[in-house]
Amino acid sequence: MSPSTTNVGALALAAVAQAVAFLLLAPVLRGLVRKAKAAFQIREGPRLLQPFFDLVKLLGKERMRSTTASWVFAAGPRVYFASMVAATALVPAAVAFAPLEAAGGVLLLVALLALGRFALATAALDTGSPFGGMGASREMTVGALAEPALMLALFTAGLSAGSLNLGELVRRSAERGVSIHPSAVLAAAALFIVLLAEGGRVPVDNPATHLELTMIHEAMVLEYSGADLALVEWGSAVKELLFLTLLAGLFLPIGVATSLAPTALAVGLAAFAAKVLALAFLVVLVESTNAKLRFFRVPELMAVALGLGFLALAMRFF
Amino acid sequence: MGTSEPGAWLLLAGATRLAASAAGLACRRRPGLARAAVFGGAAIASALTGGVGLLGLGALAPLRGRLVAHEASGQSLGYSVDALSGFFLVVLAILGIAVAVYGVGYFARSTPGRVVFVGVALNVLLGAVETVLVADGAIGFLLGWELMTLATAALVATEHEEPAARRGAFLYLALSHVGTGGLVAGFFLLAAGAPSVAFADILGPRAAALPSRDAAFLLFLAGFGVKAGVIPLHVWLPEAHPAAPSPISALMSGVLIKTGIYGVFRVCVAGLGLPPLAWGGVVFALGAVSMLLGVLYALTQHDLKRLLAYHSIENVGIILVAAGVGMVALSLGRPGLATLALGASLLHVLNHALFKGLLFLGAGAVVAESGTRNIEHLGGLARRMPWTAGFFLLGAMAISGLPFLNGFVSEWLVFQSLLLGFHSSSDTFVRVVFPIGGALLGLTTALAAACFVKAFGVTFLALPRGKGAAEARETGPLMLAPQAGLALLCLAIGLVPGPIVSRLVGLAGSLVGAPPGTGGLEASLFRIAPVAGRFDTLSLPLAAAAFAVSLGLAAVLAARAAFARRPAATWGCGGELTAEAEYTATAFSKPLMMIFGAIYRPTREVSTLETAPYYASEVRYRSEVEPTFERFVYRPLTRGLLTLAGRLRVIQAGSLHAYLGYVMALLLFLVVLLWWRG
Repeated sequence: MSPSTTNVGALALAAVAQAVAFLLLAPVLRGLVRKAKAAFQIREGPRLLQPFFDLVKLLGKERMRSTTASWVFAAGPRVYFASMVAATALVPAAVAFAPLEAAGGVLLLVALLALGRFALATAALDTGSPFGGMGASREMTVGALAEPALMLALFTAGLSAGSLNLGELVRRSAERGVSIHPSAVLAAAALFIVLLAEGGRVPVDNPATHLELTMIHEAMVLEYSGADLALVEWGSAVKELLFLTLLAGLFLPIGVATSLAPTALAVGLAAFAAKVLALAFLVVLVESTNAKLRFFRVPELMAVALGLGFLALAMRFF
Repeated sequence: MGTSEPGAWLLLAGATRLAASAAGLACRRRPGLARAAVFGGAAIASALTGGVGLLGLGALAPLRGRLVAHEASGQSLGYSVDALSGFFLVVLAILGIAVAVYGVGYFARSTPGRVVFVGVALNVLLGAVETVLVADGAIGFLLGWELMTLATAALVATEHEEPAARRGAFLYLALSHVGTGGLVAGFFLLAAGAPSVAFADILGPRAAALPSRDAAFLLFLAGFGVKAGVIPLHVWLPEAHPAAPSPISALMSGVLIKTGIYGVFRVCVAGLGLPPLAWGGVVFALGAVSMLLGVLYALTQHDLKRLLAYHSIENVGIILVAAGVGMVALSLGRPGLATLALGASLLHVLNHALFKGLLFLGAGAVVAESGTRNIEHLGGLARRMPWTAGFFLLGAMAISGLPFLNGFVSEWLVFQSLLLGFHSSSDTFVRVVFPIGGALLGLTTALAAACFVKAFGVTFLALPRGKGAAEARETGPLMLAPQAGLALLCLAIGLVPGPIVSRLVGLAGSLVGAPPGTGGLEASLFRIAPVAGRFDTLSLPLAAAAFAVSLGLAAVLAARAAFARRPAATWGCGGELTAEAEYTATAFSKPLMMIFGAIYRPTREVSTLETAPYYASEVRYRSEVEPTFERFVYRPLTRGLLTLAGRLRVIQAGSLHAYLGYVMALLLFLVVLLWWRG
């Protein structure tokens, strides 16, 4: 299944299929998470497909553009959305193979995420609203601290498998099976903390907050409406699913399909769904049992993630 | 002399510079003509030396020859252009041409005297750097080096009415001379007993056998480190770079500090024999400290040009980290890894020259149009200067290491060399230090992105915060064209890095004498990958295609509402939104300043000036970052030196008899020394 022997058209088709699957599943996952959170709060919660309906509705609505804003404001959500969607083709999901793994490995993935963050944070400064600036400043601060932790966790996984290419990495760890080596556990924990930070989840950020002063991500995108907002929301949902997929693929390589045989594929899809759901449930558990941290306590959490990453790397190699 | 001989081209370039300077001086009463002459001549000469550089880059053996010979004394100055010199000549030529073209537009409003002064000094400076790069021995090198320092100091002091410019020039001169002192001492150590001071005689195997080569290494590293702006030898850089006129700042940040890197490569990496592990470690550590502290100090700056100057320190740090990895790999006998790391370092030299040149030229346009360098007084320029804003944004994304621009490629290569080194080595030093370097590089890149969101956003977006920004207008084509050229080069390397990367890795291989076939990188038009069993690959054209398709999808999804767009004022919490409500640069970097408080040790002063019945109506806020190195290293040092100088005044009494006595004593000492030695 190496990219050189497979023909280009099939790869492009696989990339498109994976991106479309991510785009369709991400809002559903959001709905599931909301439902589970509501269950913890003994509420009924919105419909499962509500996030999807919201997106469709927003895509058809007019957008408000601030009279003070420039072309940067309009470009922000598009670049953000495009970086997240392009990143989906780099990550293996149900099959131990990523459609565009020839394009790059973990470093390209991290850089694409950084591109999306840069675009949205820059655009947030464009309307002149203080909330946009506040959100952008906080997002870049948390991002700057989360990025080294994310890199260390990914490096640990990559160096243990001997490759930074995500497809190669997942194939090698699938061969080896689930590792309960302490370094894998610590790296997974570091990646999980980064997932909470990058996904804008409690205890770093509260996606459901109503007070602008405490927001990070929501404050940054406060001025967006209509189709612009839909692109931001959809991009964020894809980003969350991307992180869950990454965590599942790197540290829980159970049931990943290593061939395209129908049974292997079916097992792979089922295993992927189960893993992502389990991890999403873990996120809900953390969100429901924790309070949001004060913003200036977040660096401590990120320092923990960074420390875990270092420990993970050290344990693997000494 | 045949036309194909590079020496003739070099001499022609020098003659062009002299003629351009003379023409500028001659028609100083006609400013337009003078501008065209000095800057046009500079561009033509740079094109000539750039051509020689390309020849050197393509040649298998160094191109050697004699530039000037003095019959009576038998002394001559020779040149030698190998791939390394050629590469740096090309980098210099690209930026030299860009700066010269930009200068024609930039100095349009200056007085004729100033135009001629800057033009002549620029020609001298470019000629001096070319001399440094093509010198085949210590004499030519030091001559060019000193001329370069003097010309730069003169250019920094161009606006000598400003105390800051005078201070910057003085600081630059003082530290540069300390550095040059280190170089002279280093060359003395190498030249003792050598047949000549040509590089061929003093560098290479002979230097490798010297017992004092560790001392020579440290002297050279200090000398080149001052020029490169390595922390803790950097204090001149944030003072001198912003003080110079903006196109000169672009040249200083883009190329001048790279002469220090050229020296490190020429002497420390390849000239003193196989570097021991400790040398690589020292270079690596200096680089790591420079990149992290450079970006951290940049975050607190609100002066656009000072902010860019601190980023130069950061990028020199990245270049040195990669060079350090290469040296460590050499000492461990890993030529493949060494060529990968050194190639990454050289690529970052080029990349930094391109995007930092671009950013300084953009900043120059902003400063010229708005009249201020303080970004707290800027804003809203994206609507008034759309082209400048677009180019600056590309430069900002490149320096932040974002994909599809050149900065990402070199940082990717540095990461590869760090991780591959870690993966394939069992050496404890590598195992401990490389992951720390990787994490620090990740942190540095992310912080640089935060800093440039601030720099771009506060300068170019939202409402103008001052009169200058509100009245700014887009600059002319002469100032935009060089920015467009540099931006295109940034994009080109960012999209199709294969050819240039493979050339530079090959250059690194020939520099350290790696046996053929041990190159650390496979590169084609579409893909680059380190040679190591599917360790990692990067195909930027493929990734860019995926990104472009996704961007198209975003457009399609939003198409239904594409024309339903309602302009409205930003909600100002019930009041009218004014520029005062906007987030400031201080506020933007405040969280990071508090998080890294241990490094900044900020002092903060808040005073309430006027109190209305229910709330403070006027508050003054002042916050400062402690200049650690200036306060704890340089201030005691200068104080000590001044005290020592005061003590020495005793022997400088002004009495002729005493001076004759000193001469006598020295003579006696020398006679005794001769008698005792021989």
